[in-house]
Amino acid sequence: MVLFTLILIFLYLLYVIKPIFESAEVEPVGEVLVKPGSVTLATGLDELKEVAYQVDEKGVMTFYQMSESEFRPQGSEILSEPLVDGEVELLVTSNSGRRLLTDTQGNVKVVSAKFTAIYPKDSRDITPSVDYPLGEDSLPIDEQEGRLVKAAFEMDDEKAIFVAYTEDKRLIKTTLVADDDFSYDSAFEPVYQEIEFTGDNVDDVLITPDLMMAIVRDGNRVFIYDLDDEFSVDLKAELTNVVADGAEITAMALLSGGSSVLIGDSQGQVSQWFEVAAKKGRQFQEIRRFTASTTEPVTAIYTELYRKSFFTLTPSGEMGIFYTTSDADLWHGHIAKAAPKAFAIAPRADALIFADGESLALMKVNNQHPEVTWKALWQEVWYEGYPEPDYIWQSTGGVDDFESKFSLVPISFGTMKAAAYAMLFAVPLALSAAIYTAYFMPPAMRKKVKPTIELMEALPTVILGFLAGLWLAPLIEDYLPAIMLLLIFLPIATFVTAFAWFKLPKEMKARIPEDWAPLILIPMLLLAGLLAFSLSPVMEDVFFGGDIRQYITNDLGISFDQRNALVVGIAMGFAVVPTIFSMAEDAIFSVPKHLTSGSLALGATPWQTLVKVVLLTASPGIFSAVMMGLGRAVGETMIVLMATGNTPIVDWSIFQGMRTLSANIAVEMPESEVGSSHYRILFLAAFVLFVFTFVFNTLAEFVRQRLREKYSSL
Amino acid sequence: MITVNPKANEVAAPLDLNNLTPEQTALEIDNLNLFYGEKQALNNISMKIPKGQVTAFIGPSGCGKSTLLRCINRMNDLVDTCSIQGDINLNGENIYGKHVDVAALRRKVGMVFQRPNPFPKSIYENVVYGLRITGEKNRRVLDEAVERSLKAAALWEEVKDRLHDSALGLSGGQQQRLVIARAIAIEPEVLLLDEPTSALDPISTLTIEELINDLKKQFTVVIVTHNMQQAARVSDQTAFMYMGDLIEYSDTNTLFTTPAKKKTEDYITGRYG
Amino acid sequence: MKDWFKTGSPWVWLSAGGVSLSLISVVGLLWLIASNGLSYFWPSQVHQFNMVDEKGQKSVVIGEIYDRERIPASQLAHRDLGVEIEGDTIERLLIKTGNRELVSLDFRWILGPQITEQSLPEDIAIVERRSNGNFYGFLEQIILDGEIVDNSRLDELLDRVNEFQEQIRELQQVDIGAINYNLERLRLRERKHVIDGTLTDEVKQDLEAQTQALKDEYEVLEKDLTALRDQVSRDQIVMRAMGGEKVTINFEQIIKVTFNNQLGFFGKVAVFFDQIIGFIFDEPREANTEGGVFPAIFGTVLMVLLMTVIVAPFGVIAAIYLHEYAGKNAFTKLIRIAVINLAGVPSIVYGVFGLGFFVYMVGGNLDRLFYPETLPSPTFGTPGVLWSALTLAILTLPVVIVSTEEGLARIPSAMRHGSLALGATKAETLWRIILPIASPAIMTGIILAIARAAGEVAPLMLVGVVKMAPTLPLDGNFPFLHLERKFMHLGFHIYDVGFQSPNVEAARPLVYATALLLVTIIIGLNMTAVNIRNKLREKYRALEH
Repeated sequence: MVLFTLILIFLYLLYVIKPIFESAEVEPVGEVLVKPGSVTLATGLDELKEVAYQVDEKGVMTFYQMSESEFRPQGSEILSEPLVDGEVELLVTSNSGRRLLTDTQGNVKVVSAKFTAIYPKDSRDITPSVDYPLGEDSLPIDEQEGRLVKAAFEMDDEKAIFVAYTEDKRLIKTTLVADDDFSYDSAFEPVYQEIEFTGDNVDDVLITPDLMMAIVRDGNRVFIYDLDDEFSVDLKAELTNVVADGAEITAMALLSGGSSVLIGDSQGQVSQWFEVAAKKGRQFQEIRRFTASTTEPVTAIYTELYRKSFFTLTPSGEMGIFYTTSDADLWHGHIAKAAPKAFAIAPRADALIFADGESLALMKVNNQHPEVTWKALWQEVWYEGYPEPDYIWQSTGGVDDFESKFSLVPISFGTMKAAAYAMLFAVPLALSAAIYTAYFMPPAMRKKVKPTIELMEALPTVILGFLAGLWLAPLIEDYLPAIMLLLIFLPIATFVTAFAWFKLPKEMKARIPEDWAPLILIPMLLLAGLLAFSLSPVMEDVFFGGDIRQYITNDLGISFDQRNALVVGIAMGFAVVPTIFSMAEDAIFSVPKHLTSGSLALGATPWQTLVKVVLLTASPGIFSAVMMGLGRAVGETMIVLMATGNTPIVDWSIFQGMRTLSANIAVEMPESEVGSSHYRILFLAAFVLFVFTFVFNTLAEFVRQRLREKYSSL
Repeated sequence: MITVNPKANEVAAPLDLNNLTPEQTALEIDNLNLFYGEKQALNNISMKIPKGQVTAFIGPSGCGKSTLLRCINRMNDLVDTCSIQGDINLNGENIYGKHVDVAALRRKVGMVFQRPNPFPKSIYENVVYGLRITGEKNRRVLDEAVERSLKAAALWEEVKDRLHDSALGLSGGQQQRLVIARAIAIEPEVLLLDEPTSALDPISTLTIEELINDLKKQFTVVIVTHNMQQAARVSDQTAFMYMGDLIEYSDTNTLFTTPAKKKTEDYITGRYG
Repeated sequence: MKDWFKTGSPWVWLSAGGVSLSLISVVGLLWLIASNGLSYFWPSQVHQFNMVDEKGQKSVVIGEIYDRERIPASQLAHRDLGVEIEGDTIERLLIKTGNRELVSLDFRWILGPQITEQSLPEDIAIVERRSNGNFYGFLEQIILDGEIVDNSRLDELLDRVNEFQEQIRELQQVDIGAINYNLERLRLRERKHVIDGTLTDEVKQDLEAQTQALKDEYEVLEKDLTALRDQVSRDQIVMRAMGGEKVTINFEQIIKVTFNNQLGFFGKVAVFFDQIIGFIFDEPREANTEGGVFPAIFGTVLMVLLMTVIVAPFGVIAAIYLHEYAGKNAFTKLIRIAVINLAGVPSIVYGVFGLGFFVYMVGGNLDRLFYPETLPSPTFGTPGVLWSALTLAILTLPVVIVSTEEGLARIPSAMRHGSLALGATKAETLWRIILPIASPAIMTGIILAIARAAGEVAPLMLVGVVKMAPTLPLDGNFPFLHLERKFMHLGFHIYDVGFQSPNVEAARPLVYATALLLVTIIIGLNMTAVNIRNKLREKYRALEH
């Protein structure tokens, strides 16, 4: 039964964790026949994957029912609408899925597919329609009304920006400024600008969704222009060393969020670039590379709407799925016999649709946790906007398109740091108390002292934590010099008292036996403590200019948190002391007395006997005790939660806080979405804790069993 | 000098132990071999124990007498490494048979241990424990059994006014008598006594020895003792064992005055033991 | 000196120091909690300070002294206080002034040198209110139904109001609460019929009739409630605050009015005990910063009881199996290691497991099978008292097992053999002899488990506790025990009030008091367990003689 429970916990944790490490799956789901003879230029899907559309070479947008429906047969045509007058010349897709079309008659239109859900008969029906966000008339993109060879556009509610390359080799920027708001009124005023361009040709144009930058490619040269200025378009940067010698750029795309540029080349590689703050200011830098194919060039790159992953296509129809931040290569396979000309990723990235001959093929994509890989959890990751790779845990942020950062390193480090400081305080205190109680203390006293110290074990950690956070932390902050003084005063007071007793005449020694040492020491230590505290303000004035906090922050350059590792060390140390004390004391106490007698009979002092014989014999038990204490320190939650600032940083400083695995789980779990990557990673954190304490405890128990067997023979 | 208690021999003329009739036989031990793991502790023991008499097992420490005794009520089953070959027949039936209910066996064959082990309950509850297990709830039946057993164990007078006091408050000798009362309350056929007085003082020992004399009127008694004088005083038959072998088995008188085997003689004259 | 060092004596003394430090820490900690906690209940005096600030303006501050500090004079050197400073340090006092409607913060620091006069006026009153905290001031007038009455009638009127408030509370929480509860159940029943497809007209009419009956009942009660409310709302008192402002406070807001400065020693003792009782039995107010902790106590007790019911049989049976029936093979060793490990697993991991497995998996499925009509709002698929009890049962299982096993191991085998020799089976021996003797050990184990559960907070944060539970898991409405409800817990209360409340200064004494309560309970339990264990040892020493 017990075993069952343990195994159950283990397995369940694994069960929840497993999905995050799986790679993606792609399976074909179905297809729908399109108008015979039509050439699909573009395709798309609604969010619920029920309706798909096709834009053919004649500029007609046709919607088809993809899924099973009560209302019409699967595969049937729902709506068909011509978008332009002549044959389509240019079809460009914006980041938000809107399309720009130009036709042979010089019309320029911007359209988007709109899907509305209505509920006749209490079931859902998706009804498609064609939307013209900038109006149904042809848009005056080129002041000189030239033919557009390449173009890109992006729009928000206030303006729509078009960057285009004309037949007569002009690179133009046109802004359509909304009179009101494009979400309900398509009236605008055009503003025309020309861009200075040093290239011969334009192969690719992209505009970032925030309308700040345009990226223009001419062969292997990539230019980045600043679109923000109303008056002129300045060249911001030209990317250098984009491809290896002999290779050519074959595809370009913008990653979701608009900060990263993906560049695919003829050697099958895709590189990711984003702006990084460097000494000379912000610069575009190549961050990482992916291999889409070792033999073929990259024909196209498609990016997901919400996440930082992308899909690559090669001429032979091989598709690759990648996630940038975690450097993950998630899937490779052939989806068609050749690279489809029309390809779209479903808005929720759970499917893809492409033109395959006479039909639109739909494939299901299962790629739920691409951002989590073992590497991403434990190694430094270079996040967009950061100057260099780093270990970061930041699961939520204030911005909409916030990228969750899940490195387990800072919080695991936090656990280790907290445990280390706690053990630093606990082990000397517990072991010295154990040694004295087990070896030197008279039995009558031991009967009272042992339970009193073990009483500490019963104290709920929540109370220790609250005292640490609300009482100890401010105390330490105010009396920091006192703490340092204590380290010196306490041992000195002990030695002084010991020496004084030693010098006492024999009669007094008889009345106050050495056995009473701990009791004698109590008032002395309290005195020493009082002295330290009363000297603290004076010290602060004399040595630290009146405020030691300022001193540490300014003069030493170390930042100081009120709730820091020192507080945690003391509080958690206090909690762990009884665990170590109990077991160590038992171990030392059960060393057979005849060993002691033997050593003393040879003329050794009690202390020498202790160190050379008893401790050695009891060492497995002591080791085991420390292990158990460590196990307890690692798993402690409440104290850390209340006594630290819960900052997930990687820093050994005693004056800084930390965030531990356990506290992290306690704080973030109630708010994480069930089944999300965050949720599963928290389970992973729990799993790590579980394994860690399992190892420690098993080790400790093993040692203890062996010890018992060893002593049964003595 | 060993005195043989004339009383023990008064009852009947010495039995021919090799030719007992079934009615006369309480237990028949037949080619019994016992092993603790690889080590053999009992070597091919065969003997018949007469009904209604006191039989003693004697021998030096480690000879196997207690082990043999514990076979009779299958207490050796509780030792993991113990294995048995051979039979022990109680009233003709092999107690090591396949379908034997061990608990029922133990109700027929009672045992008293070396150290008194009363339960931490009242005197009354200790005595009726065995009866309660069989489901007896009738208060009158239980009361009557308590009185009967305590009287037979010569304890009644001393405790009749404090039957519901804790049994742990009795002296050692009283506790042992209580345990005997407890054992006989369920009216077994055979009563096994494993060194019943070795933990008691001389006066209690005598009391119990007198008791044994009375007990044999109702039960077959088998007693293990390392005290030869005790064996000579209380038993009708004595078996001498040495290192797992049954050396000699005959009526007590003969064994102690004219032992047949040299080993026996050496033992009883104190050359070793 | 060197000789002395050679004897090793100084090191011995050093290790003795370890003991001393530990003892100091333990006792110091307990004393800290006790003194701070108890001082929360002891009625304190209300001081009046006449102040002069640096500009020479006079003001009056009235309130209770919460804290004193001496700060180095140099820290305030930059401020010209307008008064002479003697010595190196200045004392400053933290005063709780209450009166939230007049000032933004009900705590403030005042500087010693700026106090010109300090007194303890006898007729300063502390008005404890249902909302908005305490009010400190002087009683000017009592207005009864629009007419001014004599101030001496204060107590009588207060009693009257409190009686009405009790009636109102009962009406609201018990009677109307029951009606609301039953209305909700009817609604759910109807939904269930819809889902099952059994909603016939007959059924519908029946349900509607019941609903209507309940609604009618509600109307009647509402009228009663309004009548009662009228009774209480018509009276007010007028108080004069420290700045001279007159504030009117309605009687229905007032819980108690005390004149602390008038209390003699016995008066104070009476108030002290009164406060303690209030603390234990009252409901919390002002987002847990005032009032009592009764729901937390209740929640803790209920959950612990549930947990005990689950863990006791499992733990005892497991221990019996391990000790009596299991062989000495590798498998048993594995189980023992498992038990030790179970004891060492961090409590938060249990919480995570409890959340994922019990709440979402088991609870989610329970909801789907048995409560589909409440979906999408979860019944069992959400943290609650049942899952908390289960999670803590797993957590404390090793404690019970180890303690029970220890108890079983103490029983001399002579006892077992004696019983078996009398013809008892192993099971009978177990039931009649072994368990009764081991029962104190089992009891010890259960008590220790309870003590642990009362103090564990981390896992409960994930599986069932909340800051404020509107209802208790046990009430007068069928099925009386609501296992799916969330509950409050003493340990979590400490964390929440100490760290998440809006007004930490105000809350701090309450946190100390709650901590004191919790510590008392837990230490009490532990000492009981240790006592039983020691008595046991004595008893068995007799057995083994």
